[in-house]
Amino acid sequence: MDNRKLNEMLFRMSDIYNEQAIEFDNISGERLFGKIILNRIVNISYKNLKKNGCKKLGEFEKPLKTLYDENVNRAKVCLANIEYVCKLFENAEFPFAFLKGSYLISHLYELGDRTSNDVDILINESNIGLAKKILTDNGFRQGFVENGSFREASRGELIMSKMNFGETIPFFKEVDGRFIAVDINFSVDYKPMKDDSIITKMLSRTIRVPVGDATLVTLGFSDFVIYLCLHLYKEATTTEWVERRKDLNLYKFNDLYILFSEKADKPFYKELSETINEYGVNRECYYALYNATQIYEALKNKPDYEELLQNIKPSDIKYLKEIVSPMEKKIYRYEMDFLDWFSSDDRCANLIYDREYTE
Amino acid sequence: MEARIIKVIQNMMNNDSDIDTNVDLKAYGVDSLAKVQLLVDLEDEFGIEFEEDDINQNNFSSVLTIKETISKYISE
Repeated sequence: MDNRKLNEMLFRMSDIYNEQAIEFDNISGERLFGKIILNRIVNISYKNLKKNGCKKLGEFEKPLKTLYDENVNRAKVCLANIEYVCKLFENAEFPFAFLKGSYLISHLYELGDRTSNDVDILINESNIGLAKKILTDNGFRQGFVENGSFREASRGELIMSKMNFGETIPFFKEVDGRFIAVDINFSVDYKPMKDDSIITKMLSRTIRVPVGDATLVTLGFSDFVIYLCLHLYKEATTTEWVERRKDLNLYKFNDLYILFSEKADKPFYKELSETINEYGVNRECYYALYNATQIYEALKNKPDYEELLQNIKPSDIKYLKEIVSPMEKKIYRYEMDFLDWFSSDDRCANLIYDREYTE
Repeated sequence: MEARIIKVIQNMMNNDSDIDTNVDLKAYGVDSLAKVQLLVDLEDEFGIEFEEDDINQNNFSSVLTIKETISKYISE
């Protein structure tokens, strides 16, 4: 079975609405197993295989079930962490919003179907000091968890991350032998910001939803989807992520697919289209939403979705196959179609130098 | 303060060439990676620690912008 066919199978396995039988055998199973883990779709895949009467799980049954149970447990821990961090920010006197997994795990996915390594919070850059104070006053420290141990970030690492990637080094706190990780975000394109007007707008229309005994402040639905698209685009089109093979994880497309399938109505499509055009983030959103249709064809059958794509489509779409190296200030491109690119075992080997750029 | 800032840049770049206080430091070979070292060196020189809110490319683009940033922490 070639890589593309294998990935088509992977897409079906990751589709919570899939009703087709999935032919899982030892040969495809061996190759799929790693992909299922790397793409963070173990639980949905396991349920899909069971639901569609797959009798050939054989040797894969036990490890898949073990991972499935582990993800359910991890999701419970994630929920507890989200609730804990929500409470820390309850009295914050600056605008903020919890992003991505915090809302998705607690309000969209079944327990274990989506996990997250950290709690992401969006703030304005000018409020980093205040957010940092909340966290450090409550025992968080900036650094890295390596081989199960915490290592404090050096001054150079803190400056490097802030100056060149528009990110702060994650905050960690050890509780009962596990680490709670909080990531402070203040940039929508993950570059040092010159203008954070989009973030200010996003943070001016947040919504509040319950999580356990706490209140989760998150982005309004349109802004939430836009943020997912911006995040997906950035990681999918940056060489650093391609090299680490973290550029195209299926769970990110799955987030969009399920959100549109479960939550989108006609007024939402109109608002989303208008907001994307208002922010001028057509390239990023079109990339994510168009490529989501390559993976989940059911999206193509939604007339409102197709109309949305037409409304936000940039005039020039050559950029869809471009990968940027911010460090080298170079742009590379690939020449295969997106699904072959997704399926490629060595994406870096398929990159062709295109041009230099200046900011 | 300007002279001290220029000295830090020259030492870091291992180059004694004149530096125009108003010119973008990229013109002197201080790229985004070198700026990380520059900030660490400036903190050592002036005995300060920049707040995260102040750590961005704009605040460290020229000798003048660096002087403005450092002025928040110490008076001349």
